[in-house]
Amino acid sequence: MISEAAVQTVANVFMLSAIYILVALGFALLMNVLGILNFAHAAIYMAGGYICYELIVGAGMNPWVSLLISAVAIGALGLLIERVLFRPFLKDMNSIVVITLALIIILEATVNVTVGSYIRRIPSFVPGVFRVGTVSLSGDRLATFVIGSCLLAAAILFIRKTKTGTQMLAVSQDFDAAALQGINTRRIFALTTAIGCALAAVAGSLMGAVLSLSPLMGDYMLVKAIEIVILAGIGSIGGVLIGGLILGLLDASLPLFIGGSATDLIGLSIVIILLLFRPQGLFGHEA
Amino acid sequence: MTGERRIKTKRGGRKKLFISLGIVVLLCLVPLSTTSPYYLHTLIITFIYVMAAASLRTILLSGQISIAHAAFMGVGAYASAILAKELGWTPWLTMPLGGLFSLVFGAVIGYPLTRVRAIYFSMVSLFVGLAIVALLGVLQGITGGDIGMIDIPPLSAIAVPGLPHIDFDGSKIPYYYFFLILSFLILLVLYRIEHSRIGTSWKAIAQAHMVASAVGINESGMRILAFSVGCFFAGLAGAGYAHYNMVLTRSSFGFLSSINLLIYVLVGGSGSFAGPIIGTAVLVIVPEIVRSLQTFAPFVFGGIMLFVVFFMRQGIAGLFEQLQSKLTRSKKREMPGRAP
Amino acid sequence: MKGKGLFLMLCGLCLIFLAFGRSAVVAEENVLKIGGLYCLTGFGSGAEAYVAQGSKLGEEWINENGGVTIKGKKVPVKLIIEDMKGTADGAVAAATKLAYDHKVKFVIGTVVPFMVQASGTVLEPAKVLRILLYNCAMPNEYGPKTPYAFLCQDATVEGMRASLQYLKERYPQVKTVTYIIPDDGSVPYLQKLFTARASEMGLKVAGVAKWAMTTEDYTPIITQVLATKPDSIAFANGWPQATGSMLRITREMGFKGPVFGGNYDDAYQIREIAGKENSTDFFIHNLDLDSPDMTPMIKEVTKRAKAKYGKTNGMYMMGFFPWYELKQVLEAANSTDPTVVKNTWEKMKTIDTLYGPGKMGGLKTYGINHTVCHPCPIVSLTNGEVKWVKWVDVYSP
Repeated sequence: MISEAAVQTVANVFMLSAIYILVALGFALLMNVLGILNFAHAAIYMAGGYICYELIVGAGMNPWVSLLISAVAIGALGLLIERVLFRPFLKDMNSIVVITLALIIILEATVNVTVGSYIRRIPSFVPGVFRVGTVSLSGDRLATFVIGSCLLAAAILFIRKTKTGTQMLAVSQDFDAAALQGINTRRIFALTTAIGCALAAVAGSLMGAVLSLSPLMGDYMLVKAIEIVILAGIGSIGGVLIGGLILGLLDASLPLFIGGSATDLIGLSIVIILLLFRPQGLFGHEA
Repeated sequence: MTGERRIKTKRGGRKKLFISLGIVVLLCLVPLSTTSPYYLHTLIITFIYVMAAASLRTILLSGQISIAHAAFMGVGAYASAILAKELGWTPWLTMPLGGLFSLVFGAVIGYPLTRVRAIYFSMVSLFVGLAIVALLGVLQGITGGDIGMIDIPPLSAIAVPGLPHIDFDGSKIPYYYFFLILSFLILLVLYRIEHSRIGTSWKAIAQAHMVASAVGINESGMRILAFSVGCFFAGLAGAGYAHYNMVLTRSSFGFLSSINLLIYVLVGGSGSFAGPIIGTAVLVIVPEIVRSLQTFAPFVFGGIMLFVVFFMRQGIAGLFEQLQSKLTRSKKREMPGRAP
Repeated sequence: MKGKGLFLMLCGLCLIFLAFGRSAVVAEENVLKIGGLYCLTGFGSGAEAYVAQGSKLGEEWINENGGVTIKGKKVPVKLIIEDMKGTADGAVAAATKLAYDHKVKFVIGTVVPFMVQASGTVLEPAKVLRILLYNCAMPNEYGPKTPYAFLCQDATVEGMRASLQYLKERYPQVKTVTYIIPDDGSVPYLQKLFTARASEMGLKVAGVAKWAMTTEDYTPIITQVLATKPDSIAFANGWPQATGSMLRITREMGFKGPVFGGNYDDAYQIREIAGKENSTDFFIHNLDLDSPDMTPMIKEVTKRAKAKYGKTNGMYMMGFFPWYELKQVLEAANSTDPTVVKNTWEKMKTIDTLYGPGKMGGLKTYGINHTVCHPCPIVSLTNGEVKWVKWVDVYSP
């Protein structure tokens, strides 16, 4: 029946949007606060998933504990990346682009030669399926929805309400002015990168359970993250919600009408047209 | 004053031409020392990507970083291939048509696209590139979709009376010289454009667009021009690739390829004309040399990228400029009494 | 760019060219070089890296007895693997290196259609005999235009034949099937072939769904498929993350009918990706390597794989598969000339395979009599367990 599929699709839209938003969150943070287009997000997201997998399957630890440890470990990696790779090149965006691209290549190759490229999946965080009427929602996807929403809300509140968050906002708007005002920009940079990477790790771990785990899992997700952040507009973390919903709507409903490459084409075209009408994104600052 | 400067540029320009011709002569000699199709293939691919990377830098000159460049190579490639295969036209005609098609496509897309600024431009260009690849998939009937297009006609033989008959079937040597000459000519054209008024306008827009507009430079017009010119040569390079490879797949023109082109330009050094040439040469040839490392080969590629970023701020090409300025500085120090 | 800098750069480039030229091939007497085209990095490496490992087992197996016997002499084989890097350009470069630098006359490998086709444009004119590992029924991929290509094992078409046959046996109440095919250019061809196969079995095709290669979440596709209200769902092609994810989503959305695949994905992997609770009433064209019903040769390879890699899986078998046949055809042709071997192979009626006795076929289905059809393994996932089902004899005329 068409209506059953339609109702399920509504649920799918929200589930998929949550997935995309969760993946995009860490990327959005680095983009908005530091102005860094962190292509390496794809690989960091993947690395977080692999660490979580090794902890759960290899060391037999509790899935949620593994998730947290992975987030902390990747957050620490983020601190290292910021210190060694980002900090020397903050004014030189071309170098940052090359560095983040090199990071993807190196991280993916590292996973390939150590653990191998065999496709895996992280065991369910929330096993089981929940049925509401004719709609089915898997436990993992519901968990992603809840966690994604909470993290998005937390990110928005953090930026708007806390002192550190306000400092991040200041740094994102004018780096030099912020420094002149006595904000420890180094600390902000390090903290932002660490949080962004930790968020990527959380996303990677959850996605490793919802979808699957492979060294290349981040590549296409990165494109989705970029679409969301650009749609939202740089400077708006809240816009990520709208951007995510738009993308989730397109990707969850288009395949029902037209399959194959056409879904990509139509989805991308709509995003492009939206951006051509509003070049700075839906909620971004005027250029 | 002006006269002096003009003479200096002319002398510098002549020297550069002379040296470039020297490199070309050297490259001409390669097939005499090795006829192995494998080496020739790698060099041909290098020439093709040099053309693409150099034309990407042309777009970069106007301050726009495009991540759709490989997709426009694809536009020219498929256009030329379809015209030659379906309509039976000779590739000598369809190749420039492919470039033209890519130019028009680029201009049409560029018209709204170039209104978008800075990082938004780059990211929207990424989406445009992905959309083009998706479009190639949707048009499966003529493009073959994911599996790709096969049986693309090679360059038709050169049968000009008075010249020896040159066949493009079989040996790669004629293709080698063709791409060597083509890339040299394209580089020459791009070099001239860069050092013309248009090129200077582009650089002005890139550095200070408000001021540029104030002195009467048509900013959006120049941006579209830069984008279109870049797309034309990308399409031409793609078309050449189509008739050499004789098989086309979407995977050659996707976002990974566009990113690769950008890496070639940035690692080579986006500040100098020779940057994309050196970057492409190193990043295409070195992975072939380290093939036997197999799964470890990407470490070499990534390693080169990081090495260049850390130790060669202006890219590999910049390294030579740094060395050059160091040498001239020490020379000047040897001559007391002379103002630097 | 001025004088000295340019001179230095020239020297640098010359050094690069020299280093490049240095990798010359030392002609080895009395060794038969076999090229291996696999994706060790990039797209497809999730499976092909392991297929390559299986391939090495094949090389060792042949060389243990001194090699293949040609004209009374033992000729050892040497596997030379080149990485295709998951792109068509990589496939062309790797094939070019194998054909013209290593000068191999036989190449094993390629699974993904666009890489099969791309490497074919290099290897066919070079008259290198190719042993393909998979096929998606597209005319330019494998057929009359590729006379030097052989398909060494059951692929999509044969796998689907076997699956439909088993479906009829095990689930006779099923009347309709919906196919799910990746949008890689094969949809029109496979759709035609599978509709014909289904009607042969008395089944109606309820729908055909296709998914983009860039799909991350398969829920929308499955929602669409379930809207066609099929009795059963069939996957035409794909890779483990697609097959496993789609099985999982299908079961999570409450579909109770049989789900099966004609493609070659490892059942254990699919179970991991789908989740044990969703792994039921599913079967696919692959092996259960622990079952006693495996052929003696499979058991032998499993032993070797465990000795060398500590584990075994279906992809090692896929990698080993062509070697078993290669030995036979080389010795039957009594020559290492690929044209002679090709002529011998296509005249053979039967050939022994890793999975049992095989027959040469494919003239009507593919246009060329170069397909080895052999017993097709069917393994099922039942209540979260991997259960061996049976061997199903298939033949592509």
